[in-house]
Amino acid sequence: MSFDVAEGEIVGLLGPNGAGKSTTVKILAGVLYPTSGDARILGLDPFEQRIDNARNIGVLFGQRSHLLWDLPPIDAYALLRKVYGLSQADYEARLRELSELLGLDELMRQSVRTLSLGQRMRCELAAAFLHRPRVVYLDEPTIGLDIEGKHAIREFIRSISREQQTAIILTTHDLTDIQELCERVLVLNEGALIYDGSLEHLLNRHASTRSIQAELADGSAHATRARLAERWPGAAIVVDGTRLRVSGIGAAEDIVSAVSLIMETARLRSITVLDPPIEDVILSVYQHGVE
Amino acid sequence: MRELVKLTAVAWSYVKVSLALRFGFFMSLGITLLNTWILVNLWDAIRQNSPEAQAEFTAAELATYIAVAQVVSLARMSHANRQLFYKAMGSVDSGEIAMDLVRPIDNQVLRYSQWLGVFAVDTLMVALPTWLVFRLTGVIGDPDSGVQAVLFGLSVALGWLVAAGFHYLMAALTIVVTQSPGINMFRVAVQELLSGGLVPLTLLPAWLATFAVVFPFHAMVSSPTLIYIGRLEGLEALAALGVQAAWGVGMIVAGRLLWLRLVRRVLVQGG
Repeated sequence: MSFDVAEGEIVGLLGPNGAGKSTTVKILAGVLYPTSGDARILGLDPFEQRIDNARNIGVLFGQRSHLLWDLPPIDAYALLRKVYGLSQADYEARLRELSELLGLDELMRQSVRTLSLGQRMRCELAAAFLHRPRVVYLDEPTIGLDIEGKHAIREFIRSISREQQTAIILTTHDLTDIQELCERVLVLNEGALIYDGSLEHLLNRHASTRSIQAELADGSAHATRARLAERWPGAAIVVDGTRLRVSGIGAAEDIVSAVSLIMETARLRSITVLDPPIEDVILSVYQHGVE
Repeated sequence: MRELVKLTAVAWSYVKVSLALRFGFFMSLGITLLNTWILVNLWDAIRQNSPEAQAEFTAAELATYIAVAQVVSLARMSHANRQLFYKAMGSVDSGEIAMDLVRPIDNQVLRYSQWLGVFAVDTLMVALPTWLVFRLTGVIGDPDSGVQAVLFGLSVALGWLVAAGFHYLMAALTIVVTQSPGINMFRVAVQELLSGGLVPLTLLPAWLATFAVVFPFHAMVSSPTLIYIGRLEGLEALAALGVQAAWGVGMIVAGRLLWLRLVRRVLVQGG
């Protein structure tokens, strides 16, 4: 696989279990030594120049911790300040900023063992971003969180990437994370990069799975179905009273033509073009590759 | 200088982590007191039936040796010590090593400083109270002179350096032998026996005593304890300190070489 990530970009890394997402991130973070190929993060080899590279990167592995279990997060932050060589003034300013963004004021003085998963994850994020890393790897940052927790973390990631031009590589199985945060996705399967592009483009390429749903205001449902079937013999068209559902039309242009045809034939109460659920698209990409 | 700042910061964090485990320390202190009392009495009984031991040590000397060796023991399985070793040795198994590698700190500095923090607290919370109890109950005496006491203190510090080197080598080996509990059991057994923590090395079978002296184990506990009881004095004591320092530096170099060789083989499975 081969790819570049620009400053301020949030890139989603997708793939089924065992595809190589975490391995890729660990190679980029300097944890694993690549058996072949090479990587450069801001011009540095992440493994051979591990310590210099570590100063530039931030990492959040959903199942590992920056914090010290028996102590409050503030103690781990104080330790990280020394490890990353931050001045006291810079550290305090940064901690204030992160505390405001993540709502850590009270949390960071409680023992880590007393924090809920969502609270701990917010504290972990602060640890990962404390030294103003230019590249951050987030591996399952919202795993196990409730809706509110996920929302808070997505807001934080979006805001910090936009304002500080931090490049973020996000690995997740939660496709809402991807939809809400990433304009670009990399899809991996069996260690190979099978798609590198925008999420929107990926969904468009799978437009054949889009469907149309119409609520008719007259008795023309069967006539409309006949005209659609004549034009697109392979389409699945279901009539349920005044409701019409059409799928399997094909390319995006055909969807537009089908909508025009329905509007010409029937009087409408409403009409909607439905994107396929993102899970279906991604599953199809995993199983059959990119169309 | 920057590494020194990191070292003290990590050590201080582990002082705080260790102090957070107060109940564990009270347990460790109780167990160490009990162990020491049992060993002192056991060896007293053995000595009474062993002409070799009687020729080698007076009853008071042997009791002092055993009690001080337990105080100094760097293989002591105190609560904090055990937690730290399990963490260090299990870090490859658990994948926690990933978090060590993503920070701008040398792995050896990280590990030594964690152990330094725990050692400092262990000394204050377990070793010194144990020494005090046996000193006040008259089981052990004081070093012969102030100079001897200073040499003992230096020797304990150098013994820690050697033990930290040994622990680091064992922890690095878990990258290859991904069976950290087995390595840890081996470490404890070998270190307790061959460091002189359980018995003076001169009372071990000759071949085993030679093994302990040829390798660095004697530098961990036996050397400081022999200085305490006055078996090593003056130039002999200084020579023992020199040997400890050489082993300490040698272990740092060996640990560094082993780490550089093995780190490429680190595998962190899962997310």
